[in-house]
Amino acid sequence: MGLRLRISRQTLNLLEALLLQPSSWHHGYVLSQTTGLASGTLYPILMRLEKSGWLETRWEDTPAPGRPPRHLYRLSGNGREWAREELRAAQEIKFWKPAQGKV
Amino acid sequence: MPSPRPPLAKAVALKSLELAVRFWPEESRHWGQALLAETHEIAQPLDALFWVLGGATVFLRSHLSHLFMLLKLPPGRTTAPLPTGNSGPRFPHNSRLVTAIVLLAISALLLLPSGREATRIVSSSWNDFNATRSDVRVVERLAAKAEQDRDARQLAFLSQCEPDPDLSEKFANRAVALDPTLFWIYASRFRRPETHVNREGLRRLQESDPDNAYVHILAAEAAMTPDFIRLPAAPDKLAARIGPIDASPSHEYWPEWYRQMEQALHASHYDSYSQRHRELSREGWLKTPEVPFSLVVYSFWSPFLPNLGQIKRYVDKKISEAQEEAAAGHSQQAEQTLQDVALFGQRMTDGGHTDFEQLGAFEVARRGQEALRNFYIQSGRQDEARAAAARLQQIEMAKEDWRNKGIARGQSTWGVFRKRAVLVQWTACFALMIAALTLLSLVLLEFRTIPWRRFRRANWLACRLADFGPPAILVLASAFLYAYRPFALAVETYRSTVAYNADAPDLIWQLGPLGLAHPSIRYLFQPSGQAALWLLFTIALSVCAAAIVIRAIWHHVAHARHA
Repeated sequence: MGLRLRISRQTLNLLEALLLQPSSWHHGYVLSQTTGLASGTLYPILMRLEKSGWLETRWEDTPAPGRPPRHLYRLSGNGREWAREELRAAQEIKFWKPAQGKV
Repeated sequence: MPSPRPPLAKAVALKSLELAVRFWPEESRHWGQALLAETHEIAQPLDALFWVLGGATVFLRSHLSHLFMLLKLPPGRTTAPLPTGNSGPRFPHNSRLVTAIVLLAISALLLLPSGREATRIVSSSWNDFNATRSDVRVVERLAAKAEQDRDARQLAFLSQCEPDPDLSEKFANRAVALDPTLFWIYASRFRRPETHVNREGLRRLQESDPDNAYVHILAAEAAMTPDFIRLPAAPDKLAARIGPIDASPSHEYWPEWYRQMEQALHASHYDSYSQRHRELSREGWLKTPEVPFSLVVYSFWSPFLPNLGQIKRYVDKKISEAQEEAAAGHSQQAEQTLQDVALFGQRMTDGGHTDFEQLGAFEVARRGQEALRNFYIQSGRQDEARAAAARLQQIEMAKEDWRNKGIARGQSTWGVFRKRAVLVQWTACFALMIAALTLLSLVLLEFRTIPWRRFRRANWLACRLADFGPPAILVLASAFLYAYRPFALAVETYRSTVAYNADAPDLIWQLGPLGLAHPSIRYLFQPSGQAALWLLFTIALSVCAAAIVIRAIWHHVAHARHA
């Protein structure tokens, strides 16, 4: 496992959202709408996940005209495995339950 | 086709976030840019505003985490990676956090009430216990409050503290107007400064206490004032208190001086109000400990001591008058005059509470009694001569006793406190020097004004000072407070004494040795020393500014050439 993370319910919700389409790149605002997390909560979690090696980030290649490129996120290869493990463990101890069905 | 203008709420949100991104810490700025890019995609203006509000908390968290990262690094280092190899500048070993904690501990130590008082008293000693402008402002503020509270005793105390004679007189007048029993306060500022005589105050003093020899002695001094002001200024505070002993009253002022001294001779008691002065100083200081120590010292020294030289001169004149009367066959008159002189000395001995008054009083009593004994011997009155001789012996013994107890006690107290004062002054001095050097090193390291790669030795020295300076200051500050403890105890005892105690050691003997600071320290606190310091500071700042400008120009030229 990567660096130890403080796994909160909000983090588990985000991991679940990222695991729905694990190979696709996600936008911050879309993640915020999917998980119901405010930007002030979402971004510190994203920052932590990136720092711990769970998350891959990149900038959009072709931004819409007149707009800055957007930042994109997806779980790294290891990150996906670790995320699944964490979600399973959290479910087992009934700390968290999935909102989007079984992961 | 230009894009449509966003609604106001969204425009505000975008502008705010753009501004935040500009000030975002370097290492996490891309997260701010990510938040900003997403804001453009949010259709609802209110949603955009909430999004940006969340972004603001991320901005704050990023700054906090940046600050925490900086705290974990040593002074002068940023979060940017270090250049590889040995080419970069050197940094101290201790982190900013450790340095800040030690500096905070020092501040806490010196900002506690005991530490604050110690630094206040010692720094005041460096200025020769002279009042500064800010000291005087404190008194004026307290006087306004005392006036508001109609606190007569506090106004009287502040009148003793105030160096400006006009303001002091104003406070004294108000104090006496509120409480007429405080009339004696006029005596405290008699000839302070030396050329100043409050004649109205003296008149009120004479009206209120006409049977006090001390008041008439003051009036005699006032009669001679034009002679005093023609004399050069007294070299020190002690001389200023005693006055020029050898000054003789000129003929012009003689009658008034003599008349006043005659009234003093026949007055029923002698009281220089020194006990009341001391009690008022103690009470005032206890009530308002924020009064600067320089002004408390001013208050301690405020009672005016009569000119002992003039009293002795007057007594000698009376003795010679008595001898002339005896020679002329007026034995009864001569005896009466000599008895008056001896009694005058006795009254001064009983009523004078300061060492200097005692010194004069014993001498007056001794001269009077000796002249009386000689008169009885010459008149063949053996019994009276023996009685006068016995009284003379008693006076001599009392004088010796006083010398052994009072002066010796004062001198031994002075000696004990002198040793401690040396320790206090040196620890304070070293702590100040190291603090100045450490502060300079930290500023130079933090602002990177010096190209350290070219000044390796200076870089090494600055790093050592940044590492060892703060703990050294902490040790010296603790040593300073430890060495100061006897002085703190003396002040505490003085303040907590319920009533004036003549046998208690005089606070001036205890704190006085602090005034014997090294001349170089005192120089720094004199106007010329402070001007020199400011000059040095201005030159150093100018050199730094010039170095920054030259460096910027040099970089600009080098960059242009490279391009």
